Amino acid sequence: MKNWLLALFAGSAALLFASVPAVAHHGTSAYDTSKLTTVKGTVTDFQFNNPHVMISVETKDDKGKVELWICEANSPNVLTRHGWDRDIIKKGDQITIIGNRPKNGAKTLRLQKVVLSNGQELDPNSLQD
Amino acid sequence: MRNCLMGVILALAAIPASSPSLFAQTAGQQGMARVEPADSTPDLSGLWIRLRDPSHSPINLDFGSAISPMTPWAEKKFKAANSVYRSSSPSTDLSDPIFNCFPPGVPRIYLLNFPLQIVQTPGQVIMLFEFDHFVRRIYTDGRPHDKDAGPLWMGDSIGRWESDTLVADTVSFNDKTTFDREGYPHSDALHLVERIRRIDHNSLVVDLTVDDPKAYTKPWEAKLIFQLKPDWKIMEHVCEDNAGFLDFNKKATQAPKK
Repeated sequence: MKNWLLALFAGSAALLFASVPAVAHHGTSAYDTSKLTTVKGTVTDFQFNNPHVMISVETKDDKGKVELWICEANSPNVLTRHGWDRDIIKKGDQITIIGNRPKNGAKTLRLQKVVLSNGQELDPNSLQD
Repeated sequence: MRNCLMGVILALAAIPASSPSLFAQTAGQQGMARVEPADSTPDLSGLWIRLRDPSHSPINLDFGSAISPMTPWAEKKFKAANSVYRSSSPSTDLSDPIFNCFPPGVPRIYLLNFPLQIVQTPGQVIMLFEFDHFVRRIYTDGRPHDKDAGPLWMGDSIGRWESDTLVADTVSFNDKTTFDREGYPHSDALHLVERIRRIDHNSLVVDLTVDDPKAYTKPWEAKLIFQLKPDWKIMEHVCEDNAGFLDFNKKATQAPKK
């Protein structure tokens, strides 16, 4: 009985610590941090500027409806120290962007992950504080 | 009479020649610390980035459990400061001073994920922060706090050397900044002491003590660790040039379209 309780406690604690970083690295609580939204599309704009890098991605559904998603990442100062440069993403690139969407349903994302057309994943630990 | 006058004139003429030692003696008598010769002062200089590895420090983006219980005054202010940067409660309040590019205050500026450069000169330890190019000057030339200064966003800092440690003492804060993104407040009576030393060539520790009886029931302490980054440089960061980001946040915080 005691061992079972101990295991449950340890398991819960591990889960708690595992989930903290994802929330703790969030700067804005207007966003739904409980799940990630994945968007695949074409880059229409890449602003590698301070104070926040912004990526615009156009998606097209199977009915041909075009939607524009605006994504925000950390300062380029931080991103360049994690392997990014201003040429890492170009207009026309096919990319997958994964992030937190605002609770009001706007088509914007606070980026948590970026996968380039060649499959390279950019360092998720750098994208947000 | 003439001899007496000559004597006075000669005595007056002699003063400039002897004045440096005269002033030095006076300084000593007033108890002002002398400037340490450069070769005996510890060297804190370099480009430093705060470590966020939990095994070194539990502090990532906020001071969390390090903070003492708040006074009723502070509780009220904490509830009102429901910043959009707060992780713990839903908020669309964009009034966090950092969001509007005001100075983050101290020690919050240490928590932002940008490096700082420490430059030491005789009489001053200068901290050049990458975040919006803020500067702190910690005067080590023995001067007292500036009684005419304040209230200040970044406080008025003086320091003294204790063996290998710079003990920085900061007062005259305004009450407009918070300690971290959670919005923990402080009053203008905040007295911050930082003990800063190099643990080894690549590591710097800041042991800070927050004493603010108006806001907290007892002083509290926190430890921040920094790593030397000799191959980094301080890059430009202009917080105010953020029209695109403001627009982005507006989209996220406005009411959904019906």
